[in-house]
Amino acid sequence: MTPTPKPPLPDENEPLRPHSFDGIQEYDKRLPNWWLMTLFGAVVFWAGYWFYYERAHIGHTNAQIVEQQLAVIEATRLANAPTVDDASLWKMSRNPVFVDAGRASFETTCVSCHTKELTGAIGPNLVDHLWIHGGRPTEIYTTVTQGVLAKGMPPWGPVLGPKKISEAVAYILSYHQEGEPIEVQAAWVPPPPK
Amino acid sequence: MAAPLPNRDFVTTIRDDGSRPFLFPADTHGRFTTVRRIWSLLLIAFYLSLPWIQINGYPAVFLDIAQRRFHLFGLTLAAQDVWLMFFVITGLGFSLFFVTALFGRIWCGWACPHTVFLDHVYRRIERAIDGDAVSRRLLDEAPASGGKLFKRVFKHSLYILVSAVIAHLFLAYFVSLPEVWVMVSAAPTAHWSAFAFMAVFTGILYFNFGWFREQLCIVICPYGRLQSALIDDNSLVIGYDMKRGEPRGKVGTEGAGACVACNRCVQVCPTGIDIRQGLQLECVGCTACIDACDDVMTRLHRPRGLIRYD
Repeated sequence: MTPTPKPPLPDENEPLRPHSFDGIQEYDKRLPNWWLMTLFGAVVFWAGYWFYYERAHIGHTNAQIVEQQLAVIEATRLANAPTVDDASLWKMSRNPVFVDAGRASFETTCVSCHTKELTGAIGPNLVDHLWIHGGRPTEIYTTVTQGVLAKGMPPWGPVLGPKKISEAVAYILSYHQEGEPIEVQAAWVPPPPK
Repeated sequence: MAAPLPNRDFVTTIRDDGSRPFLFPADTHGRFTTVRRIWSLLLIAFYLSLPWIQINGYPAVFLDIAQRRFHLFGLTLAAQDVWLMFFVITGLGFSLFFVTALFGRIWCGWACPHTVFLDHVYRRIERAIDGDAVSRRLLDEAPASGGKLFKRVFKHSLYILVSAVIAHLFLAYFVSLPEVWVMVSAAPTAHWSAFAFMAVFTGILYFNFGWFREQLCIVICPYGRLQSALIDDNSLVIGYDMKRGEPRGKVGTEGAGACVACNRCVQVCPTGIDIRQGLQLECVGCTACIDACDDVMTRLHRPRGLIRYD
């Protein structure tokens, strides 16, 4: 007859945790290895995460992501607006989605005359306060759309269409502030070639 | 190295050095095994079929996160109905506590997806490829060979395949089946985040069911840890009839109880405990030991139920 196995007596050498609740104590056993691996893995992950988001700022914060998405929504709304006016063009010039799209159009279409820095060569400087055909956003828009054939500016309306022109004007306006002085310039004198 | 004999002073599946003895629970046959298998296959069929069933033009369960529309059996809820979640969550919590007080861990053994998929899908695959408990242990201890490699690759490929199917159906609950099909047909880069989710989720399932197994129930799941606060003397739990069973002894021994110390109940236990030491945290109420003991008792022409729901 096998006697009923009794629960083993507490081992004197078995380490116990110091605390005791209602006389109940617990052993101080080693944690499972897989558990320790998750702990160490989490520490390693934290280091990468911290570097990615907090140190190198490669990852976007939630606030930045929301801002980007709101910009996309506003860009769509502005692009579908029935008419453009000064206020809406100024708004476009503060919208990163619009300005980025405008930069793309500008750098393929306009840079040959106005240069990459918009400081002008064959065509006039677009970042100073001097304007030949008007410096209000709608005036710039009209100039781009209809062109000034007498001075060599082609009409871009039929080529680019209103959306791309709005974007390009927004890009130009992103170099300006609403309410800054607008001075009239008689004619553009190209700088001497370097 | 085999798992040590169960003892209430340590967890069978965690050695003193922190390593994990892998268990090879033996097969069971009997009333509970049969009923549980049929029931679990029904549950799996239910889980896999829900996204295919259309009610009011939407899948039976379609939690459309992207559109903030939650379709449940014809009912459509919007984001502003989230306050209902208060009743759902407290209701679920209360139900779980209530059911536990009455029926113990009936959830763990009969309905938890972890147990259902583990016992009735993954362990079945393992059983079909690697054989019974003894063969599995011998194969595990055998030195590397072509045959072993083939079995291992075959088994783990099936694990991954099944995990991927479960993961895709799970995704279908959130994006609907046609959308899953669109994403599966396209290049991984076209739906990068969905693809990453799918790969990670498949990996987690594979790891969990292929290796982690009972560790989830013992160490991670909080429900098991809460048991001592949820049950009382009247709760339905699986237990060993100590009065009838003790003292243990071989057949014909003078004065011996009904237990013949065959240790069958220990061999079949998927969490590596000895149920004769009383109810323990590790027990998920899978009923394997009931069927194992009943089988032995029937062969000895003794009344079954030495280990039973009580």
